[in-house]
Amino acid sequence: MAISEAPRPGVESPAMGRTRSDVSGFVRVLQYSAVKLVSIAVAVVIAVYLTILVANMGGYVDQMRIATIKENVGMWVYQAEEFRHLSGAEKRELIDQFAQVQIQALRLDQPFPIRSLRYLWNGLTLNLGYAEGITSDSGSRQVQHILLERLGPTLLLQASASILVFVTALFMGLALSRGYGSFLDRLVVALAPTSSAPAWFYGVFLILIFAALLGWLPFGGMVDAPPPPNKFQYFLSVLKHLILPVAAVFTSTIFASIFSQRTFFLIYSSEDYVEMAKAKGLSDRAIERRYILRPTLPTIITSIALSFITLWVGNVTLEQIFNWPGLGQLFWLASRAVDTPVIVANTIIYAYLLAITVFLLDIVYAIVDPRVKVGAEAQSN
Amino acid sequence: MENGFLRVEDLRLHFRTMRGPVQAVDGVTFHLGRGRTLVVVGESGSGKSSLAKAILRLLPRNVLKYEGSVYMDDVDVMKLSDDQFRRRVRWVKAALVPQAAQNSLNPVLRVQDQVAEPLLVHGKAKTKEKAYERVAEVFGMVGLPTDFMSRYPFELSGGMRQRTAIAMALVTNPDLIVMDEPTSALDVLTQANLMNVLKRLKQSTEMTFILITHDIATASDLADDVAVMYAGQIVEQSTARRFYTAPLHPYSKMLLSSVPTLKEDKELQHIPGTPPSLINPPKGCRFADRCPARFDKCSQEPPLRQVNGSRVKCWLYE
Repeated sequence: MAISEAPRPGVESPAMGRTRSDVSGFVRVLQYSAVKLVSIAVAVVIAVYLTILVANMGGYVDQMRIATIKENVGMWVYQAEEFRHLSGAEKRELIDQFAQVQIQALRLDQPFPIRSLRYLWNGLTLNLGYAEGITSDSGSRQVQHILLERLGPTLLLQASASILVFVTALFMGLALSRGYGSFLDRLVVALAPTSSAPAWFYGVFLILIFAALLGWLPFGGMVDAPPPPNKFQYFLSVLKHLILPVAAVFTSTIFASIFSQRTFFLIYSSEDYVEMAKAKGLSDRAIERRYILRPTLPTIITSIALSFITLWVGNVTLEQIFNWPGLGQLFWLASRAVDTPVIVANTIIYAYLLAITVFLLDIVYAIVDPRVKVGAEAQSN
Repeated sequence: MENGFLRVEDLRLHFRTMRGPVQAVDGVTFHLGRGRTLVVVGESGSGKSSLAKAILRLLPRNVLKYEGSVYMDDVDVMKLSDDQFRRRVRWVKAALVPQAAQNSLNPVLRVQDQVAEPLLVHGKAKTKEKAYERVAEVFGMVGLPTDFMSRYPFELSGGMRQRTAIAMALVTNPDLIVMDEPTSALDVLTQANLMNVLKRLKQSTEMTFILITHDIATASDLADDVAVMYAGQIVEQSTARRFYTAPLHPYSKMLLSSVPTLKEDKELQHIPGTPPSLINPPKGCRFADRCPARFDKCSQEPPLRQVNGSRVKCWLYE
């Protein structure tokens, strides 16, 4: 071309410069990640400690446990044949001795601040211990076993519902943002407030219609009783039980989700660079992929990741209504029975999952959004 | 001018708003010869940017009316379907340099990919490597170092982003480049640099430019023809020489006397009043209310008349 006096440096030097800045950029990402990791870890410790304080009612639960031990030992001493000849004072002394042994064995004699730190350490190292009263279906009292047994059903229910809602909302939102102001668009906007009612509310009606009235689907539970012997039939049975609770979650969240995705895409599709892409002659699909979805990828990833963490808690009322043997139901049972280890364990694992997700999100952000990766670099330039 | 590359006839673009229809472009007619540069001047809100959008068919969601004819090489592109328009006109015949290049580049794509995109979309480069070669070429044309190619938009300064936008418009060698206030978001020094880039481009290429600006003084360096927009209409179109020395329309005269110059020591004038709202604009001549030469006939709409090779929309030249 005619204008060649413009500066055009050689190819080698910029290439080298690029590699060097990539390496130092990598070091910076590592530093950045390390700082993030430490701050997240501190947050987890604080959250778990607070949970322990609350779940132990500031040490009061241990007073209750000491009282229970004393009562049990007392009953045993008063009823046992071999102690019948002892006087009242002697019996009381004996009770104190036996109780003290048990209290020391459980290390309940330490002051609560020290005990709370021990609980904290056990919790953080996932040394979850034994439940007070709740047992798993297989009869184990280990908190780990109880939680693991309940995790599967909760994940099955929540993950299938969440994925269904997320995918539907994403594509419907994208389609509606294109057809802004159409009849379907206005319909969804009008229906968005239906999501103010919780899933169990729709669950009740779904049970009424499809289980009680029509008798097409089961009232609740996760599998037929007795469970079908072969794997395929078992799978079909679970699927059949899954339909109503998933439908309940879907109905209660779908319109608000579509509405928010649509609004999100409407905002991002009126960016100047989207118009430029159109002016350049890109096809609608290419514009959608490279100029709407690609720049909004970080935000989309965040929303799906955060929605996945909430799966862990389960849906307490919904699982109650559908008699679904998941974590939500367990949490409800544990709260009623003041089963501290189960409550604490549930929260600790939630805190860990949240922390891991937030940390992973930071890394994913650095990968998908070039502005994050060089954030520290840009400041130093 | 009759056998020009671009012929716009009675182009209208109206928007729907809460307060009523906005007649942003209302019956615009002009012709532009190949290789010439037309400067469209006017105040803010006179419909200059909407004219650019109308020519390039970049319509917002609230379009109420979009009609008229736009001939490029004697093909009425207004009659093409959206898909035909995309394939045959967008960035092949007409490209755009946007107003704010800050937001006009996708933040998560490297600039070389964004600049190369039109080549690949319109099949002008077979491979990415071939496309990058052309990108390096146009980067040279606008004075950008080629090692900026692999950067992201946020790693460039405002002036560099605007150069990138110009490079992007040049990359497919389109017949027409519409520049919508390409320098107005930049500081004065960067503006001057960029104007020099544009001047060099004008001298070294055969392209036709439409430069939309409110900066009448700097635009004089580039202009072959000048069109003056007022309230959604073109009120005067003439060659630059005639416009800058002897403007015809009273609005053009007042516009020019409001521009400061270095050479002479003149009293700057301002135009009293404000431009009319484009919602329900006045009947008849839209400038009448602010015009010192107003007379009875101005309550009727004046036609666009040929006067000594210029066109002017004013009853004074009947």
